[in-house]
Amino acid sequence: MAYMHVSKDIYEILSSCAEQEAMAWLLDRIAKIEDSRTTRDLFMGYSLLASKFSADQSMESNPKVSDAITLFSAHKASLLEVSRIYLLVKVLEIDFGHFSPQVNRIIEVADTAELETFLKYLVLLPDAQRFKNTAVEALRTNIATIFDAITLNNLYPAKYFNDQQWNQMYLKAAFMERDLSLIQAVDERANKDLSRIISDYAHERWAASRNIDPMFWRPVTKFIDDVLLLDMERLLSSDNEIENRAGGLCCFYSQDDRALKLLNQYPKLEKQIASKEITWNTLKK
Amino acid sequence: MEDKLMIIDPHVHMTSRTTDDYEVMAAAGVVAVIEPSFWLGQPRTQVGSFQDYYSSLVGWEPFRASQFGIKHYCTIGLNSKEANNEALAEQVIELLPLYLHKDNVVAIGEIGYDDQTPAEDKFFRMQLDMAKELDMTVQVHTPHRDKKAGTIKSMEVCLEHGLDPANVIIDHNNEETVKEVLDRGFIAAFTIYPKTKMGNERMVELVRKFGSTNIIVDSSADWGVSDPLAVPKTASLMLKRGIPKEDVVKTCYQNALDAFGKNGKMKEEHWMKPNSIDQSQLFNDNSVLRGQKPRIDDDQIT
Repeated sequence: MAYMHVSKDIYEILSSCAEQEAMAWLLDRIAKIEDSRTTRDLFMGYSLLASKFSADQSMESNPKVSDAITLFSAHKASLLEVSRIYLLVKVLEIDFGHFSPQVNRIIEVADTAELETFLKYLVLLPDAQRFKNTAVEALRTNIATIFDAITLNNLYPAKYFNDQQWNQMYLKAAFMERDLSLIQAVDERANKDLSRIISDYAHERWAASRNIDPMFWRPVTKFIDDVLLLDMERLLSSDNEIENRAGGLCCFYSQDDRALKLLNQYPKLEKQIASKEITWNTLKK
Repeated sequence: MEDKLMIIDPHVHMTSRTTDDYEVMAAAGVVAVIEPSFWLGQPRTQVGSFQDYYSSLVGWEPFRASQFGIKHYCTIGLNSKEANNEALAEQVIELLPLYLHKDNVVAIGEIGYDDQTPAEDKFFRMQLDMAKELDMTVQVHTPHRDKKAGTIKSMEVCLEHGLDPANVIIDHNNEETVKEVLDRGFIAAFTIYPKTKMGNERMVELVRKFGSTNIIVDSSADWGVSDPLAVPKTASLMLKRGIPKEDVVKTCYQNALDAFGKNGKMKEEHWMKPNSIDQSQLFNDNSVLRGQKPRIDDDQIT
């Protein structure tokens, strides 16, 4: 999805929730930055946002829907978060070449709360792929809130990560026991290498008598090979009903003759999947 | 323990101290510390060194302190000694605003004069302007040499830049400077150094003479010979010498909280209702433990 007129959309939502005085200050400050183009005006302006916009007040839902607004409300963004993103988007729109080193600096020295904000809304920044290092670096953290910010409910990874980065994220999310259903575009980014990694990881866990989130299997759907066919058999014959469903979903959508034949042995499950009574979205319901 | 005082050390460079210090400080009643940014004993040569230092003051060090039940705040600024490398100082000044709004930053500091050079003056003034614009408290380091003149000049420059003296803490005072500082409405902090300079017997007499209003005791403990228990030891000595408890509480706790709590980031509830200490938490994959069994307090102290 392309984010057009991002700063305009963000401005609308921000001005509908923030105090007029704060908005007037912000517009004035942006005009000053645009005019002087100095790092000082940008950094001081950025720093002052914390005293002008509340970190405790969440965005109210707004009937006028745009992609940017949907993203903010999905994350229950605070006014301070939205104002920070607005300032960064705005200066990058004014002159990307001039302001992107400063924006990078702001992101580089972020504390935990700021980094969470940047990662959640990175996709809104103009020329967002240029900020990929920040996103990939966040995969290395052990601070769960930072990892979640880039991984869950975020379109950035699906849009900009290469397969290796995507797979690293997906595996670590499973390892950290995050809610895998919140990862976006799992089907679109599935790949053969990832399906091999999933099977290997499952065998490791099974050997240690440990469970795996059944949702973890979803990306193997289009890549059923001999090894994965045996994994599907194991899932379908498991005592855990949710594992049965996961195996059934993988087989049903696999377009693989052997997998479809395997699923034929479980006619009730096959019927429920064909009628969409069971989907990946309702897997655990 | 009955009647144990809560202590704030509003000037201590914990980056240079060990976990033993955190343990004895907590045991002596220290509930919160403020770590001013300063030089590290040898001049830095790259802006990145400052950046990583400031980042540790808002990241790793507060985490480390929390592992011992102490709340850590800091002040951010370009110190006077390193202001003399002008080319580098320009880059550091540019970076400062990005730290000043962060969660545990309670003031701009410690800034001021060392040798009272033109470069020190220039960068001191630039930071005072920032304080004015961001409405922040300022922590001023006064020079060791030509102290009285340097202290007076620091205050005059603060007033010239439109700062409210009640929002400026003048540090490292002694008997010679205290009257000027209090008379002008600034807050006077005293660093208790072992052996030299301001010992705590002298501090007792100062409080006896000047009272407890606008007077703060700190340790300035750092990488040199210094005592991280200077504040609790001074509090204890004051009580022994017959200073009223009320004055001890003000000089070793309340005045620091009032002075540095103005921007709302430093709050008593941070240690009155703390999250329980959990040493099994990790910060960027690093623990302060080296194979010991983590100490975990399940219950909050009520």
